[in-house]
Amino acid sequence: MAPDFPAAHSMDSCWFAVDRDGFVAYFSTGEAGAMPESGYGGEEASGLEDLLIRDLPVGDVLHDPNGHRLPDQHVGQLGLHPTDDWQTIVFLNSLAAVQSDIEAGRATAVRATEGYAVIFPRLTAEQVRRLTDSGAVRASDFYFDSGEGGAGSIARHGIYEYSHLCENWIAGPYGRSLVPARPVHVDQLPPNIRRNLMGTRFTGWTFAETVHIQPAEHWPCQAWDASWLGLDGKRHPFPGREDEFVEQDEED
Amino acid sequence: MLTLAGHAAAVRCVAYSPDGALLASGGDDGVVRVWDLASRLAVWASEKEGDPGIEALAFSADSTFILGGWSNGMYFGVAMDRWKQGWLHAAHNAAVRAILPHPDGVRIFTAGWDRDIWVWRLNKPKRIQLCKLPKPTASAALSPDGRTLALGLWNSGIVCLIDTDSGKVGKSRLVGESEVFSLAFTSDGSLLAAGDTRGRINLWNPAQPNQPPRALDGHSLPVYGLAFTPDGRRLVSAGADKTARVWDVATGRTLHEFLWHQSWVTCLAMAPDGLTVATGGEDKVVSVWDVPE
Repeated sequence: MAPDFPAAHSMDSCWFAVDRDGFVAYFSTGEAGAMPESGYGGEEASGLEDLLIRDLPVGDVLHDPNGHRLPDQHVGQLGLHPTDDWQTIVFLNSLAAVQSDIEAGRATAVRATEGYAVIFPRLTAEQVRRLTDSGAVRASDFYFDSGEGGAGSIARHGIYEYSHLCENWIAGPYGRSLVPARPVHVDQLPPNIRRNLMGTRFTGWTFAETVHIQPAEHWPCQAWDASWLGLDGKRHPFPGREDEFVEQDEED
Repeated sequence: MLTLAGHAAAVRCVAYSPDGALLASGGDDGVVRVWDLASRLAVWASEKEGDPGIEALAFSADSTFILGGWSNGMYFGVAMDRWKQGWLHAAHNAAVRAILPHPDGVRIFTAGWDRDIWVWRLNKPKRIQLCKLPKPTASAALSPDGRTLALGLWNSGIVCLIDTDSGKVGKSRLVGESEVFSLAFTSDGSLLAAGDTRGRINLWNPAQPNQPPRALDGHSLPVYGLAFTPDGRRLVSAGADKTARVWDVATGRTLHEFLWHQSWVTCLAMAPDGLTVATGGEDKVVSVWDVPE
């Protein structure tokens, strides 16, 4: 593990893991997400990310609406707000409500694992009202095209992409934001990379079938916060940081 | 089916001795294991030397050496009369991908992830560069007459055919969008099989590269091992979907599908008599099984 985490906690970090069947995923900590103490993480993982984006062929990606919410959140709980500053991805049951936006170039349809997905460069109050009234919205989230399926996304190169879901208040679960149309198998990678990646292996399940992951449930992890949020919605202290956990509880 | 256990990590390569009596396997544990298939007993296991894994194995044509390649690019030979390492050479700047002894019994080809193809003489430290490829080698096979080296290039659907005397590239073909991770010639060299990362196997006559290949579809994930029976009537394949398949070459039909491994199959070798196949798995075991008629 490179020593840049959690010390350099003002920056996002990342790590990689392999699933039961040998497929590879990339996890973006978004600062607060837990990162396994062993395996491909930190600066080493950033270097690998650059290498894989450089070397692996480009393919299509599917956006996963369920990976943008916590396990116990209903998709409808995610807010849809007018914005000029951020792009927004909106997951829908039907494209009817956004057809006019797509035809006018105000939105771009992208592939989704379920239903439909559309990216809005900006959202007006009128668009938000229309989308909300349509009842077709399943979920929405900010969208950054440097990752998340855009030109810089590692998912376009066959790697499943998970993002941390809990802002910075706790080391929360990761959600599968992007599914590669053609996943890369770990044995397709050079042996030195393959061997390092296999150091962080989920032996029980596959990324193809798993939307939410909390690494602290599987391995010793490092994180900025003293506690982590399980997939069951319960808070847990990181081993050795129980005192901080109690203090946080008292402050809350 | 015979299960050979002993590796402490994924098996990466398997090879039969020319007489079919011995089977060698190597893995991520960095150990070479040799079994006597008649007695089912382990004959020899190498000492683990540092961190690198064994990526490629072959027997020399005269059965005097086991040839191996490490993930750190080193190439070694084990003298079978003494079971001692005969040599250790720095061969590649990245992992060794394949070791292919020429049927002349003299030359040995090594291919690596560094894009180099080297020619060696048995038990000699000197090497000659046969060629440098535009991309690393994902798969390799030598034609039975030793004249042609088929190489699947990483991150491309290209299979290069290299003249083993001149090193010149000729009659290469783009098989598809997916990279080829396994290659095999029939014993008469009239067919070349290429298994790709989408699970498709393409068959074509390497002398007629403009003819469209014949596709065998069945595997759902990358194909990591291929071998023809000596009569060319059957093709055996295995890969990341954990299955091994026996194909009827004439019809392209799957005759049998086996699930011998608990994890993905990394490698495959066919006995010289074509009666058995050995598959190595990420599950750390080698399975030796009969090829059904």
